[in-house]
Amino acid sequence: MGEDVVAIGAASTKFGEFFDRGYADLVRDVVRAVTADAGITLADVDAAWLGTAFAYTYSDEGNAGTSLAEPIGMHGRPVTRVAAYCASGLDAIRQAVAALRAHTCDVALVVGAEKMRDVGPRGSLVMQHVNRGHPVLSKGRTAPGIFGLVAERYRAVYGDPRPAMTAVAMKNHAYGELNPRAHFRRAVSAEQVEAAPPLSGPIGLLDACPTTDGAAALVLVRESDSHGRRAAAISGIAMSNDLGYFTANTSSRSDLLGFESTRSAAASAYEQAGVTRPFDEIDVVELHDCFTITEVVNYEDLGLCGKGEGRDLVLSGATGPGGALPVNTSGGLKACGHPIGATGVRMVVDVCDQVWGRAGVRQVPGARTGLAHALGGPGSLACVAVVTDAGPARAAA
Amino acid sequence: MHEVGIADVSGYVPAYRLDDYLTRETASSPDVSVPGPDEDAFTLMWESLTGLPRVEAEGPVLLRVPDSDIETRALVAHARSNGVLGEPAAVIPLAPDAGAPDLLALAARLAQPGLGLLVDHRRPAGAGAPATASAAAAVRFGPPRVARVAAVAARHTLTFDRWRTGPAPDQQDARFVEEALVAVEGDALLADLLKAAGRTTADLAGVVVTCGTRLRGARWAKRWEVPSVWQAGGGTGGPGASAAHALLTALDRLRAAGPDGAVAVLDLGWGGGGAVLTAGTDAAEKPAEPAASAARGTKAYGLAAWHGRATEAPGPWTSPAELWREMPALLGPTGYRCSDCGGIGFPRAGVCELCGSFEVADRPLRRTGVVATHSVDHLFDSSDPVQMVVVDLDGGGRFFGQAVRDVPRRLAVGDRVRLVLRRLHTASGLPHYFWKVDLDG
Repeated sequence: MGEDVVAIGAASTKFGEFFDRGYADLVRDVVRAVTADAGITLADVDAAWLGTAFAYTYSDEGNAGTSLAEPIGMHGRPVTRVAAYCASGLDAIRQAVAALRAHTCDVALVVGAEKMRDVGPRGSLVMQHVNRGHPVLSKGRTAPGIFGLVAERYRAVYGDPRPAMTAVAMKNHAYGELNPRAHFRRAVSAEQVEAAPPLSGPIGLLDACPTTDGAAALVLVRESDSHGRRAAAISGIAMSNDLGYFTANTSSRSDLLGFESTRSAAASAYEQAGVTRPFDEIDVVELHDCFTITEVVNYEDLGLCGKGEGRDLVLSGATGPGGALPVNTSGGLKACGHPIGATGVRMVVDVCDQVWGRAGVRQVPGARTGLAHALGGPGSLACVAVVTDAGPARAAA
Repeated sequence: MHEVGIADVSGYVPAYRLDDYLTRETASSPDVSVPGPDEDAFTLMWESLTGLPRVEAEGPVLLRVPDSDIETRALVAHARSNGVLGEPAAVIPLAPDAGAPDLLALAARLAQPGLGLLVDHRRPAGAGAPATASAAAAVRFGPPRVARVAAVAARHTLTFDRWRTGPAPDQQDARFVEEALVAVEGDALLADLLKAAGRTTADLAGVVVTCGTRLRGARWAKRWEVPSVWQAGGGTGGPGASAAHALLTALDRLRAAGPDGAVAVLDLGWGGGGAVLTAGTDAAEKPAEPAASAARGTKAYGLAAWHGRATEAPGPWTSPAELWREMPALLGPTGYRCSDCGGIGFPRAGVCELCGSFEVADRPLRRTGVVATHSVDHLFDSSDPVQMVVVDLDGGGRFFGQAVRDVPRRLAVGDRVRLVLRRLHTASGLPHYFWKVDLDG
C-alpha cells in the first residue's frame, strides 16, 4: 500500500450562487486559501489534480488541467483533470494519493470546482440527461428520476421511505443553517419538505440538492514530509465502477435498493484503513445525499446499518446532532450544495475540519476518524475515503 | 382473376377516446377511436403486425400508410428490425386514397401471395374538424383460412361535380352526396360484384361501405335487400380513409356469418371499388378479437396537440451513424446471452455484465415482464408527468423506459406489463421510436 498520505491544508470557498465570480475566480480563491492553510506557497507544489465533472455544460472551463493552471499561474508542472461524474473530486484526491505513494511528486494540490449557476437548471443537468444523451436509452431519464426508482423499490421492499426522507432533509438543513459555507443556511420543517413540489416518485424539491457554484482544495504530502504539522491521513481511499451510464437502469446486477459501487468501494477503503466495524470506528461521515433517499440507502451500502435499516437509523437520531454517528455535519449536498466536481474534495475538507477540531458549533466532540463518500452517475461509480487524524497527537502516541 | 385467400388477419384499433372538452370542441363522436399522443401511423401499423404469425420471408408487401412522416422504406426497416415483418419480396406502396377493395384487387392479381397493410392514422385537419376513426389492419394472403376474395370490381366515373373527399359542409349537401353516390355507383358496383362472384344479394350477410358522408344504413339495407349495411369507422372520412376499418369490419362480419357467409365491401368516391368476401376454411373457429384495450382518455392532449399544432420541444441531435449502428438491435429488442454464465442482458453488448465473459451472442428478448420499480417524473419536458419504469423481462434481461401515455392507472411494482413500440420524439427531423411499457391484458 505504501506510506500514508496526509492532508496538511484544507479549504473551501463558500458554496452558493455567485454571479460575480467565475470558474477561474473560485479556483484562484480556493488555492490561495489552501496554500495559506498548509503554510506553503504555490512554488512548493509540484503536481496538481483538478476535479470537474461537466466541462462545456455549465461553462466552457474545466475540460483540462489548464483550467486550474491558468488562473493560478502554475506553469511548468503537470496538472491533470479528473472526471468521474459526482465523484470527480474524490477521485482527483485518489489520483494524487497514488502519485504521492509512488513518489512521482512530493507536494500535491487537489482542487475540485464546478461553476453551475451561470445557466438555469434546465440548461444544465436536465440538458445533460435529456437533450444530450443517448437518442432513446436516456430519453425521460432525469437525475431525480434515477433515485426515484430506488425510492419506489425501497417502498415496495422495506416500506414507505417518506418519514426517513423527511428526517434527512430536516437534519441536513439544520446542519446547513449552522455552516457559514453552506448554499442554504436555513432549517426546513417536515411540513415544508412534504408539501414541496414533486420531482420524481416520492422525491420532492426539498428532497433534492441544488446546483451550486463552489470550489474546494487540499494540499497532500507523504506523512514523512508533514514534519509534525497538523495533518489528516487518507488512510483508505477506493473507487469502484459498477454500472454503465446509459444502461445503469437496465442492469440485472442492480437490486435497485442501493448501489454496488458504494458497497465495493467502501469494502476496499475499510480494508486499507483497517476499519471492520464502521459504525463504531468512524466518528463523522460526509456522504452523498444528492437526494434524501440516497442518504438512506448510503447508510446501508456503507455498512453503517443493515439492509432495510437505513430508515430506522435516521429516525433514531443517531446520524443527527449529538447522535452516535453524525452524518453530513456540513449540511451535505442537500444544504451545503453540490458543485459537482468540488463536492468530493469539500467532503474531505469538512472531515479535516472535524478531526482538526475546527468545525465550530457543528464540531463532533472528539472526532478522530471520518468518512467521505461520493456517488457518481446513475450509481455507475463511487469513491470512499477514510480520513484519520494524523497530527502531532498521533505522532506522539 | 384467380382465387386468392386471406390466411391470417390482425387488426389494431387504438383505445383512446377524446375527453368531453375535446369532443365538444371538435364536434366529434365520443365513441370514435383515436390514437394516443405517442401513437402514429407507424406504431399503428406495428401493432397490427404483432398479431400475425411470424415468417422469415414475406411475399410482396402492399402498403397503405398515408399519414406517416417517415418514408416507406423506413417503415419497412423499422418493422423488419423487430421481426414483425419478414423480408419482403417487394414493397408496393398504395395510393393514400386506396380503399380495402383496391388492396384486395391488387392482391388477387399478384402471382405470389403477399402481405397487405392498411393504416388510418387520423387527426383533424383543423380546428372544428371532427375526429375520424383510426385503425390498422394487416392481412397475409395465401390459403383461405380466414376468407376468400370471391370477386373484385371497380368503376371509374366522372358523374357529379359536387363529390368531395371531406365531410360535406351542410346536411342538405351530405344527403345529396349520399343519394347520388350510393344510389348510382353503389347499385352498379354491387351488381357487378355479385355477377362476378356468381352470387345474389340473398347470399350476403351485409355490405360494408366507406364513402364521404354518413350513411343511413337501414335505408340502404332495404334498397339492396341485404340484412345489414355497415359503415366502417363512423363514415366521416373521405374515400379510403377508413380502409383499415372497412377490412376489419368485413372480416369480423364474415366470421359472424358462419361457414356459408358472404360480405361485400364497397369503397365509393369518383366511382368506386368493391369486393366480395366469402367464408374461409376456418370459419367455424372463433378468431381473436382485434387488439384493443379498455378505453383510455386523452388527458395528455391539449386542443393544439390534438390538431397537431402544438410546438414540440426539440429533441436531441442524433448521429445518423449511431442510429444505423444501434437502432436495429434496440428495436428488436435484442439483448445478449452469455455462453459462460447463461446471463441475459439488455441492451446488446460485447461483454456479459454479470460475469465479464466476452463469449456473448445476440438474443431476442421477450416483450413481457414484471415491473421492478418505477418513478413518475415531473421534470420531463411534457404536458403530463411521465412514468419511468424498470421491467424485469420474462426469460431474462431488464428494460427501462417510459410508460405509454394515458395508461389507465399508474404502474406499480409487481404489475405484469408488455413492451409496445411507440413514438418517443422527433429529433434531427426524424421520428424516433422505442419501446414503452403498457399493462399486459
